[in-house]
Amino acid sequence: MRRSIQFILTVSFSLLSVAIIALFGLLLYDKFSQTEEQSAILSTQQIVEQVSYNLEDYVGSITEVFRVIDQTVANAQGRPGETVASELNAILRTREDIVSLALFTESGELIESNPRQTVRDSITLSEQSWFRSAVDTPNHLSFSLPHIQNIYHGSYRWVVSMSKGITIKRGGVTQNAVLLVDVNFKQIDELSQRVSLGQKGYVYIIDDSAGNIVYHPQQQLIYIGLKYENVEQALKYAYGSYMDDSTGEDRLITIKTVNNIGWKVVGVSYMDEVMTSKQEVGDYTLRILALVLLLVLIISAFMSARISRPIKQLEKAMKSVERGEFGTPVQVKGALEVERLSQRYNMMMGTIKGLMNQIVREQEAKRKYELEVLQAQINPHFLYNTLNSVVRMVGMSKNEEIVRTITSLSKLFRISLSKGQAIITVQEEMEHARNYLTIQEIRFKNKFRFTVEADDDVPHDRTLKLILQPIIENAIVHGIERMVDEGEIEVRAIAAGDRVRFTIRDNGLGIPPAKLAALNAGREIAPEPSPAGGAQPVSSGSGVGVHNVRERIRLYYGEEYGLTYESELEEGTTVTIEIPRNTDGADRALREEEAE
Amino acid sequence: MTRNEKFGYALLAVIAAFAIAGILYSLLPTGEAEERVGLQGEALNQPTITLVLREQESDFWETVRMGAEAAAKEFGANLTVTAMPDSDDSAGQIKLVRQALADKTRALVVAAADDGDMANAITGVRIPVIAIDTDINAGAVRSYIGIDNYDAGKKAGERIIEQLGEQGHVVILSSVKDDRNMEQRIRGILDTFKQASFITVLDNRYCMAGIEACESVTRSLMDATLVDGIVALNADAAIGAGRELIRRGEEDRVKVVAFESAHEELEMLQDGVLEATIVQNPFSMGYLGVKHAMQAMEGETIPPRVDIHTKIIDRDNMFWMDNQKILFPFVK
Repeated sequence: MRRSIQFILTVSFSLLSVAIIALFGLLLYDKFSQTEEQSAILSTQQIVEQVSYNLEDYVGSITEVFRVIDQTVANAQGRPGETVASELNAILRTREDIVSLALFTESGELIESNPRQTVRDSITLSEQSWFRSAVDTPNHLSFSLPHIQNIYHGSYRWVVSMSKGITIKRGGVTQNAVLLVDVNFKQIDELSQRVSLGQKGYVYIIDDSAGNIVYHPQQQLIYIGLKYENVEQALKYAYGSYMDDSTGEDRLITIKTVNNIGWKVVGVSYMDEVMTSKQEVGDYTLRILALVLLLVLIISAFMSARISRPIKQLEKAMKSVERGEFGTPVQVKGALEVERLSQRYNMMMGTIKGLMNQIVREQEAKRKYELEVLQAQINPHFLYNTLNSVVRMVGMSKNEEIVRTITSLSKLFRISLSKGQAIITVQEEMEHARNYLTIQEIRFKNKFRFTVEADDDVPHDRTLKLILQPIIENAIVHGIERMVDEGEIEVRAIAAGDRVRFTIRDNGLGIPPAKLAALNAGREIAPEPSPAGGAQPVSSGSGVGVHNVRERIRLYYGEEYGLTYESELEEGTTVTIEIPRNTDGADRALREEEAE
Repeated sequence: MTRNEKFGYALLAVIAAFAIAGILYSLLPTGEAEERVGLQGEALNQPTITLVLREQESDFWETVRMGAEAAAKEFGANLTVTAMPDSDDSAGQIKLVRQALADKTRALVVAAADDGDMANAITGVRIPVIAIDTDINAGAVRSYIGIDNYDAGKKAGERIIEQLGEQGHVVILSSVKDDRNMEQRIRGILDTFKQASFITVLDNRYCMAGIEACESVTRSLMDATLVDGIVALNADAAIGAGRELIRRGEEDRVKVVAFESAHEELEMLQDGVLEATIVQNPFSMGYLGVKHAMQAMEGETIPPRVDIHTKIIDRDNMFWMDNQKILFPFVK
């Protein structure tokens, strides 16, 4: 199906705009989501780093406290027990988060504890990891995982145990001992709990060496298998971020190691929370796209209507021309091109109208001239004169001349009728001229001589009929008749290039220059009273006239063909008629004739 | 242009104008984003889930609440937690449920004090109801999340048989009577004893008024007969029995298998007074309760029954990492 301009414009314009907007939207969306993702990663990193610094700070501060306690205990030798105890008490009072401190012998015997607590009988200290690590690596401060401190009666508390193997002097004997300081885990727990990364995100802490969970908001769920945390993966990193989908959700994992204590802070943020704003941007872009599409549709529909409406109007106008209404000019308003188009169209219509009028006029003229030729063919005046001379000759018993005249007359009529055809051969035309001249010669009692000759290559060319007779008639009437000497008329037909040239030459009186100029310019000459014709004027009676010949040639063969006069007074006149040789013009005229 | 065409164009223009206006309106900032930033976690569009507990202050229910809160955070819900002061105040609990329904809660997670009363109260409720800890026979209840008390009873029974060497006199002690969970536990215990023919069940004893009552019930019982083993169905009974055994100095001879994990129970466990205790995982109970309520609200199918596994804790495993977290859920 052929689409209308309106449709094509609307659709292509809309498609183009949508494509551009979509491309930009996509690029923007892509850029935005990248930025968003990066900023999410960055902010998570910052938070995780902050947590890790806080933890480091905290670990630093409790390490410092441990150092002070350690020193106090080491310097206790030789000082009263109460002084040492009150010093330790003072330290403990400044730190709420330090639950207790205790000093054990290497064999697990409690030397001192503050606040004073009793150790359960059922406890074997060597089973406790903090004790073992202190004994195994003396003089090294070790941190335990958060655990329930279960060695004291009546108390179960979540603590991180700091322990160190030290040497003390007791009763003058130097011996190895284990110093234990329990730090309440609450501070770390709360610190970690407070952190939230988005709505669902959180941080957890793992132990660097074995991957044990130090803190996790959903530790219980992990232990019973309701939740899974990809700790192995996290252990591989000391610092950095990666994407993890081991839990079925896309999560951004950010890791930072806490120095001194060997823990790792792991931040978990959920990508779908980052995506929410991404989705919003996507939605926004889509909506803008819809809006633009709508606007573009409206605008392009409007625009294309403006373009196509004048074209449609033009089409309508053309339709009316099709129906034959030439008269109505098209008045189309619109774009410059369309207006020009309608102007051109109007101009074209004007030309067509002119041409048509011309054709009508020419056809009318043709008919008129042909009618005149028809009249000439059976010119009664000529017939009367001829018959008159025949009667006179009968009276004089000039039998031979009578026969010649009658024969010529009959031939003349046969050619001039020529089955009603307008075109005959040059030979026939020449024959016609000869017969005419013969009759006139007899009639004018040998007042002139004549020759009729044609070149060998022209007789079969075609020509309009009865173009020579009116000229010859003029030559006789105006040139020869009033001459004193014997006249001479020469009719020739020659080929001149692609033309056939007829010349009718007489040695008569000639034509006065003013009249000659008028004749050559093709103006109709006011008829003179013919001396031979009696009351009848020549042009209306005997001859069809020069004008008739000229017009017929023009109508049949075109403007460039016609006849020219050359004349000098007392010398004679030569008329030259040129028509195309054997031409299309003739053929066309023939065809036209036949078609009619 | 014909009349119809004109009308068509006018209609199109109106539609287009509306569409443009609509899109433009939707492009305007709505303040949604600000809310999201300002009220982190409490966005107005989050559905409210009400968790109705049995007790206001107890480690067990506090842990349930922690689990529920974890799930609410993870799945994006507003959690409202209510409980009555007294764990047996069934009427008070039903009042709380009615209030929650009146407040247009979108889902209920209920630990019923009395399953019968609660079943009546929630008949015809259209929102999803999840029963935790105690099953409720009502149409609205979409899922029951809790331990299999019968199975827990069997575990306790098996453990005491093992401790006694398949021979002895056993007392089943409970501080609550006519409680669905307790009865199922008793059934489980008794069913295991059927296979151990040498175990004699002395009596089912109820000590209704707390630890002291249980202590004196134990005392009078032990004064009267020889007791080799005690199965204490809840914390109060276990602590009461334990104290009496310590007083008598018979904590080593008499084997006790308990339920629950109260502080004093754990001390007794560590000190060898109690041989074992069967513990639940209240955190996962709360977590799964809210999670399934959320799923039910979103039209997902949820299992009609979710078993929370029980664990037998004894002296050896009580300080294992994972058990520590169950026995001592709070960092204080």
